[in-house]
Amino acid sequence: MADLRRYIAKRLIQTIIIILGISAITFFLARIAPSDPAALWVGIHARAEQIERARAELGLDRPLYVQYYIYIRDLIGGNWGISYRTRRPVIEDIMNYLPASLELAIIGQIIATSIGIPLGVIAASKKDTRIDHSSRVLAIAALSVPVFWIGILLQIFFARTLGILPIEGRLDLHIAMTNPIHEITGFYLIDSLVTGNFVAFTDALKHIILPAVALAAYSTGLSVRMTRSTMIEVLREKYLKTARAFGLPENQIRFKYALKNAIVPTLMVLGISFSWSLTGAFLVEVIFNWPGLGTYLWRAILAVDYPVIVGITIIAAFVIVFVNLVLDLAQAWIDPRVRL
Amino acid sequence: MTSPLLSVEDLRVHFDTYEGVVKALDGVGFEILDGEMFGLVGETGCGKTITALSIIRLIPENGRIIEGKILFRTENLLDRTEEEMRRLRGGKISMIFQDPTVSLNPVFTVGQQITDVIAVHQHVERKEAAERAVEAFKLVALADPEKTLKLYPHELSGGMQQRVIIAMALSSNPDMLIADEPTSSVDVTIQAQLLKRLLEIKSSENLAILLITHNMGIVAETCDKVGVMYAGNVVEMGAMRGVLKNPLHPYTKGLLEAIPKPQTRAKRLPIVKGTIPDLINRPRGCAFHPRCPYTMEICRDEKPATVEIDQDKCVACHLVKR
Amino acid sequence: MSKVPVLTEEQEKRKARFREIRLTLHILSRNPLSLASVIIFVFLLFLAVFAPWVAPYPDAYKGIPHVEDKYKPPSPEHLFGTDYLGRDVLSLIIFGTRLSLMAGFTIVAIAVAIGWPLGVIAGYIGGKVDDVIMRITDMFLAFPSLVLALVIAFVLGPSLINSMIAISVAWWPWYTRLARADAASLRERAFVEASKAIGLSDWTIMLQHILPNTMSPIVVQATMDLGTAILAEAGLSFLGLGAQPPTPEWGLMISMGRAVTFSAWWYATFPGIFIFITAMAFNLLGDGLREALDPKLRRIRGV
Repeated sequence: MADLRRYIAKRLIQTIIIILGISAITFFLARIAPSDPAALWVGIHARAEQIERARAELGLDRPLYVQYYIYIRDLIGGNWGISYRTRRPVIEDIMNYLPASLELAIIGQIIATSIGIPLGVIAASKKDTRIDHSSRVLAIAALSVPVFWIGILLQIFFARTLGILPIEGRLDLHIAMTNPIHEITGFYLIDSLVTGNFVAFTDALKHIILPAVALAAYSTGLSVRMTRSTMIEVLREKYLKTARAFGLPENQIRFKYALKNAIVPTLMVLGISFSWSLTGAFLVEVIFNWPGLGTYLWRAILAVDYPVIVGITIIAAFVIVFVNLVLDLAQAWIDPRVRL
Repeated sequence: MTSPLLSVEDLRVHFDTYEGVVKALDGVGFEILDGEMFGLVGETGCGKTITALSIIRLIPENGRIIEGKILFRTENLLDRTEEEMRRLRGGKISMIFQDPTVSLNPVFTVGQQITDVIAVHQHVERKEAAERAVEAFKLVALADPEKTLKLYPHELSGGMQQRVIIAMALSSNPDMLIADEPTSSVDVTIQAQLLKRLLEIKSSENLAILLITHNMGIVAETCDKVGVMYAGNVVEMGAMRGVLKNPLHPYTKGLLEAIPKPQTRAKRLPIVKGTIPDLINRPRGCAFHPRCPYTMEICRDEKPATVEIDQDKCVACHLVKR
Repeated sequence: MSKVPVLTEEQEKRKARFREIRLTLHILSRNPLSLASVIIFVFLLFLAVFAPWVAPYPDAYKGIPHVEDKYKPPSPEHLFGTDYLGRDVLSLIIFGTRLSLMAGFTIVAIAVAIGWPLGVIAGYIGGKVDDVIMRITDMFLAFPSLVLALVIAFVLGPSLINSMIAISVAWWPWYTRLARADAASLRERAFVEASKAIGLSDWTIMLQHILPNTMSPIVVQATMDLGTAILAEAGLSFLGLGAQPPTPEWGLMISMGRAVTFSAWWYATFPGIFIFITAMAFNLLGDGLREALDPKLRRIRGV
């Protein structure tokens, strides 16, 4: 297993380099934007000397490379600046809002994966039949629907017309007061279930369904398409033909061999799919007034709140990089060729 | 006369493709006896691989066996059920393919793969199967068999991978081994070693081998009998020495002339000019006639029937009927 | 001596390429879905080009308010209703077709123009150059693309053009990765060595041989990306970082329609349908193209 350990070390180093690169890009982007952060920090009715003082305070008068050094140092140290808008440390705000976004993205991903992957597998094994073609069209349709539009439609239909699901938000205000959820992880579904708070659990569930479904549409389409093509590739592989030529029973070939061969590319599918889930979550949050990073970012953009914009960009990238790292390591564990 | 191990009669196989129905095999027939090495030779596209796949019934999905008989001992394999065929594959008849580097599953060790095959055919527990696997590895002269079991395919060289595959094929003591271009993907020295080993196994185990190749030179050196295929037909078949000394079909002559010999001091190697015919719209007469240096009027109109010259020899050519 | 005319190498190559294209088109036309998507695409193109003549209220896009017609529901005079300025939504959507199509093509064109050559260079030259380019590519790819586009659009200032640039900048790495993989494997092929042996410079080899041979996956990806590009652009406009009012951009219209979702549902609904149809057409086309160009599928195709 020595080569596995070597691979892990190599990937970790790569990840660190990528994170440094990401922070550099983000830093650069923030600095070249047109508005004056100092003026924004102080507010609209500021006087000239207040702006100047703010500039010195924020370190904006130092040379660029010094700013970058301070930036990296602070980043590692956990000081991600103060939000111009909320006046709270950015890192604190992010930690507050992150669980909501993660919960939404994960639920959406679970829906997408549990529909998408099996459908892709079926489509691949029944290639070129009616089932295959119709699932392909459905998948492409799912990929073509604008996530923000489907969210609105879901709101109109289920919340307005049918009235069975709430329009927006994460929890009913009423319930939040009468049956508050004791926060452990920040994931309402888990926390309420674990503390036996079924009233809140049901309510949280009702609130998360519409946004999660809106989110899941794109990822489902993606999962179906990618699983189908990887399964077709796997089923076509010469080594399966050899296995058949040696008389191995079809069940064994499908479920022992082909499945293991398919896991690695499927993990890749998961990685890409989750990346899109996180992206889509931002759009969905805006529509459903979901108190997550998306809404936070949205407000930050309106208020030209730099530290927040930078912070969220970095955290989003971190999450993706981390998820991909985990998936890559899982792949390396299963398929020895990856470790080369 | 002993009854043949394998007897293929008038085999016709068609493929449905985008451009039309490809009539890949147009009446293939030959016989292989126990312990005999039979070389099926011909250029790319002549249908030799399809023939082999038809024997174990693993032709691609868009292929159909239209007609013919494949008699293994006395049973017609084409009448057998899929489950019966599955038990045959790797059991009584084994087939190995050209490129060993893509024939082994990369995410399992070679030990796991050969143990699976042994366990399926010999109905033994995994531990017993592992021991037999080691025996099989010794048979193909793989160094350090116990250690090799734990390796992944990509950790082995091409030659070693091919030995593993041969070991898997022979592990259940088959009556016949079908080898489809087993040496084309390895370099010449390994090629020689593998062939030598195969010949040794053939005599020690009385194994019949159907060797499929485009390389007439290898066939000439190793096979007892040879069948020359062209465009889905066997155009000449007979004992190796007889065919070498006295080739009857013009195509056979061309193939033999194309083998580079040390004595030859000509500047260019003689080749058989032209390409294989369109298999979708097959020409009416003899499939070879456009390229044949001895072609006659009748060759264009009538397809030559297979004529038995003597006990072992037959040929399909209008020249011979006379 | 034979009288068969000998074609030059150039003519041979051109003939082969024409045959390829004809076969691809032939396979494509056999697929009813691809056919449908082509028809839809032509229809949309028609709408875009002839908007002033097709739209029932041609001056709608000029933003002239007819306040008395504000938020009228769908009726025979206004098939899709009116918006907050009293403009005919159908006409707005028709004019919006121009913007969406243009946005889609521009985004993909820029991303391909940057990413493809970079990938070929990285794959062919290899070594340090490859490492550097791929590191940068990986960094860009580590961002969720929408977030990156968001930030860039924000930095550049909200406008339609800036949002298009933002998306292109977020997308080029995909093409680089695609092209690099192909170029790297092509580098090992014999014809490259042969070309070097007769003295062709690296740049010539890259330009004339490697680049064209990596075209196939790029074209497929680009076609599929057209749909996604339109979605992305609509998304940015929806968030206010793209087209600004009163531009009749579909995403923007949905955003403005959101404020009146329950009273004037048509304003948010119909533009979305068009986004969906457009994206679907491009995605179907891309998918059909991918199947048609797959070399393995061509040889063994069931009738």
